[in-house]
Amino acid sequence: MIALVALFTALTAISNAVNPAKPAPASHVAQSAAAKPTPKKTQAPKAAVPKHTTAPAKAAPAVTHAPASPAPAATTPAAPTMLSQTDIVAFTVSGSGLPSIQYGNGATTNNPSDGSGPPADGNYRPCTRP
Amino acid sequence: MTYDPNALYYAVSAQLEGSGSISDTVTEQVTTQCSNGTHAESFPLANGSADGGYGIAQAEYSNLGSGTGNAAQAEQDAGC
Repeated sequence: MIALVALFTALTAISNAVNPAKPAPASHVAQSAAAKPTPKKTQAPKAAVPKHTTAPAKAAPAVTHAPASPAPAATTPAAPTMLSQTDIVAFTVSGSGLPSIQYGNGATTNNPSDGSGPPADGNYRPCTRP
Repeated sequence: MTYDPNALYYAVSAQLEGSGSISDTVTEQVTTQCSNGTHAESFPLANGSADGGYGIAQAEYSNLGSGTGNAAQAEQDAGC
């Protein structure tokens, strides 16, 4: 009897050793089931984070562009620019009589003809003759 | 004539021939063309006068040391 009991115990132990392999799949399933939600939870926040980051990133430039566009519109009309410039020296003579005229700038000296001409070129303006 | 920053001087001399009365001036005239309009400005540099006989009206402006002219001032006055 004792040998039978020992044999039964040994078989039971063996069957228990084999059975844990059967429930193991159950635990694996449980673990896999638990492992599946875990990646789902981790993927969900990962997917949500980029969505949140992209959303404000897109909104931020829109907000910055909106105030940036009215600013140049306000400054553009208030800034006139110089297109060109002319700089001349005019010699004028006026009065009465028939003066003899010379004018120049050190490098050139001009003697206008005895007669009236463009006033700014040193020619005398028509004067009242004595 | 066109303003030359390197010119030594700008001068005009008018001499009477027996009688009369004359005066002469040297003026720098700057015309600035801006996007909002044209601005003309004159800068008197020198003047002279003579009365009777063979008097000489001499107007001379020394450009030494002041060869920049008044272009920058005219641009500032034009506001562009």
